Amino acid sequence: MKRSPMKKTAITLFFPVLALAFALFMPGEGRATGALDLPPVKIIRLENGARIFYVQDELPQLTIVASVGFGRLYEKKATAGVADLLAKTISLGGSEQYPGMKLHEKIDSMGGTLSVSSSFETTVISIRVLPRFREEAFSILAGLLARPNLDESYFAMAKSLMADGIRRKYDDPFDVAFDRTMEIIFGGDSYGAIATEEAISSYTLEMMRDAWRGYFGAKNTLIAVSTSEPFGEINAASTKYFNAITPGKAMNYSVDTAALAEKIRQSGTKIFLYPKDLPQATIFVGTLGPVIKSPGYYSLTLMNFILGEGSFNSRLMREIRVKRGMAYSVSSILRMRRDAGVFLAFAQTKNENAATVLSLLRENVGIMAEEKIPGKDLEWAKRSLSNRFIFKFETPMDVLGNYLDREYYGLPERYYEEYLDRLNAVTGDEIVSESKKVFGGGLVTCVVGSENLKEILKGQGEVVLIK
Amino acid sequence: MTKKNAASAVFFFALIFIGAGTPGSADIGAVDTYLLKHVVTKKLANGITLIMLNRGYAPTLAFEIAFRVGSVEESYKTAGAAHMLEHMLFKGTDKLGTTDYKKEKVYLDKIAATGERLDRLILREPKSAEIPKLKARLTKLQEEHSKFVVRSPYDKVYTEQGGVGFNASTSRDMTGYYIELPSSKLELWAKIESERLRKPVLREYYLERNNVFEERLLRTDSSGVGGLFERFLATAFMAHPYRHPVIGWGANIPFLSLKDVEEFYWTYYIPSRMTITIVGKQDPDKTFRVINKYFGAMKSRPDPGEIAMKEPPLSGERRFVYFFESNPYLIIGWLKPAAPDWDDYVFEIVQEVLSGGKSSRLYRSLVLEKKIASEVNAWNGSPGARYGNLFIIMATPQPGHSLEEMEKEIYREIARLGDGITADEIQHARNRMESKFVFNLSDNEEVAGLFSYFQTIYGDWRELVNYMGKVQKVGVDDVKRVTSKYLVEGNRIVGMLKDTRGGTKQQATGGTK
Repeated sequence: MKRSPMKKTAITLFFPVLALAFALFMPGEGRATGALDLPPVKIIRLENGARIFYVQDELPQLTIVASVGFGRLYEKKATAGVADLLAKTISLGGSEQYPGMKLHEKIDSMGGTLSVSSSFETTVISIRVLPRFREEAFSILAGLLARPNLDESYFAMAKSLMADGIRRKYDDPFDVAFDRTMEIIFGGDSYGAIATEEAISSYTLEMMRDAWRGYFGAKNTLIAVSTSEPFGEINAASTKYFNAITPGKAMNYSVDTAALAEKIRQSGTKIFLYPKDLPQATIFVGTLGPVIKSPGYYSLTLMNFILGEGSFNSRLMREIRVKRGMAYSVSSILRMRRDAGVFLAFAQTKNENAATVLSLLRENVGIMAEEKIPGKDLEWAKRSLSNRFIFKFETPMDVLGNYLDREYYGLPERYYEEYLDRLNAVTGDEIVSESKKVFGGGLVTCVVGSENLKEILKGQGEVVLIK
Repeated sequence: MTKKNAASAVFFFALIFIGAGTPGSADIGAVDTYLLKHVVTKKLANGITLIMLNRGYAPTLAFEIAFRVGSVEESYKTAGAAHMLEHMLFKGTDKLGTTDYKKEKVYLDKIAATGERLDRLILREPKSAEIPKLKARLTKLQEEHSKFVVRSPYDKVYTEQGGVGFNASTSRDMTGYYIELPSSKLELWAKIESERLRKPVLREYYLERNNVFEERLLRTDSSGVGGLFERFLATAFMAHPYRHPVIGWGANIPFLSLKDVEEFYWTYYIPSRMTITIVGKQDPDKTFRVINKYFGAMKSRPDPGEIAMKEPPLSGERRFVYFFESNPYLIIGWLKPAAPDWDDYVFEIVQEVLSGGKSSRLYRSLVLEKKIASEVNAWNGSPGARYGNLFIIMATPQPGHSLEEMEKEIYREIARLGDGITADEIQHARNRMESKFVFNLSDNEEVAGLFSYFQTIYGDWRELVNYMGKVQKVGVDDVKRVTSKYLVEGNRIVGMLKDTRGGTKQQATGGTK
């Protein structure tokens, strides 16, 4: 890889201060509008395509986060876990300049923190230090991106630790149920690409190198810097260190939603039971969700808030925990991402209540696609989401995160400015209509718990053991 | 709510907040000076402590109300009462959460009487013919009562007003209630919380007790590590109530009495044990006026006093094995004093040297070099900080390596620490603690948590500053001394989690060697 830190001058663009109009609802007083002056976000665009977003923080610290477009959503069955394994290898092996223990000693002696991890859509390298270690931090992060030490010994160590992590993950029934449900919904690919110990042990270092070459390019990476250091210093450091990253290209993933939806429809009311000798059942239902830019985004955000995300007054919480005392943990999740989405609802209850709780989960999800939400519930949800909107901008890092999301997802320029207007324009009919699109094809059901559940749940559908 | 915040919040002398041009940062100087200058502390006439810090650019506030009471105040009869009470304080008052309290009260009394009798019968006469009748009566009463109930009343209001993170937690040492709201909701919050704490109605008690039991199933009974840790503390503390699990025992939650929970509230939820912390965009003078207006009416009651109990010395190793369908896990603990004993500050450094980062002694040796462990962590101050506690090391073995092999290696590392600790290592530990302190100040909630913790546990939030200063004085000789004094065989407890799969299936045991 070519190393040319002095190669180019940064092109800087200054976003204007985002004077965000946000709605403030006061009970009985209608809607008032206020304005919030946020710290400005500045962007540095390098010639290799790297984009660095900067915000100034009052705290004497420096945080650099590099977000590479590569995670579980990019994987297939045959490559499940590659992103995670690559992240772990880099985390242990470091870079050519700071290999292995040299990296760990450097980070620890500075009192810094370094994290390399992969999630669903991205692999994130983040480093946090006191400002006096600015040069070291930039140098370390650039090295990990541009010249990682993909060495056999660290790769073997990463495989061993990852295999152990997979084993230990299965000690937690929630994790097992989550993974199994995702695996069934997505047919073992993308969101449902679940790594196994056997697969990890078969992976080669060359696969890691291929993945790194394919995804770790400047055009496929967003970098965020939050610090007390002035912009000029960060601009100079970015140009000096991040120009060495190979340009590469922006990558994407695809999900065949039509085929997956058909499989979900075929599963009907089947209950996939993963037996584990426990006194409590973990019950998941789920299906595909839309992408973030879908027209139903705002309707479904409100739907999910009312159904299971909106605290103790959400329907699932109220029906299962508050009214019946049947679960401590109950919620729903809706994730709408760039090219895929997923909906999940879950509860954990003692085995003898499993059939009732499963029935309540299915019933309450189904109602969202059938019955119009009462006006007062919809207004409550709108007020709640509107009034808490300000917390998306509470810290400089929050502000920066919003800019990164806008860039990564390709959202409209005025996405945040218009967010509340769009949310508040949603009607009850639209929620039913959008919910039908999501839930109309049925739900996958997955349960982790005692084998006795086969008998307990048989009234809810055919129980299929999946261990 | 753990000591982690406190422990990591050390060493900030000479750190500089640089005026960054962001709103509110213009006059920020050295961190310690900044905190001492800008944190405003007030004492209400009834004894409530109020801590405020105006910071940030966003008009939001983080609120925390903490009481110096946790499960350490419980007996065998009341194990789990502190946590149960925390749950019950989400149920409302005689004004909020009811459609007609006068009519509701009739049912509340009948439910309480029926529930108490039912519990006692199930416990003492489980074959009594009266039990099914009482169960049916309780269910009917609950159904009739539900007509007067407005469920989750606080949550409904707070969520609508933009509240986030509305929650509470109970530890062995303290109980906290928190939320973040737009700054404009200060007075609303004060009105609601003051009434919530002054006259709570513990409605729907038996339904909530079921939820707590489900919580226990989730955290302890369905988790190998959860079950191991519960047994570990019960083995380590023979006499001191730190041995009780915060959530209560599986065997006593189904019989935890409403009367006992109410009594617990009246005894411990008193102004002198209460701290209100508010961090974020505000005018502290105005905040004080609002707080005084609403919380000033809370009546003082006598303090029941502290636990008159000191855990006796171990006088010999205690060891047990717990079997569960789970991967193996090891915990080793050593009894030690809590702050303000000087040795507690020394253990803060020991913790950092042993497991602070990938180049720390234990991680480097067990995970990276010998490859016998996949995780290893050290922790000072478990399970609480108000009384003598434990320094613990937790580790997970890699496949092909046993818990026993890993245990021996940990002891070798401790011996090496006693012999070979260097001034450089201690300085690196300080650097890490210094950084963590700054990193912990990044949001209002975190800052409020720090102040609240130090005020509640140590009696003054400024102890945060003093604590840092003391840790900074720890030297090589201190580390050598505590290693040889405490980290020895006769003062340790060893707990092992072994997998019931693929080997001899044995019953869980909690016995000592």
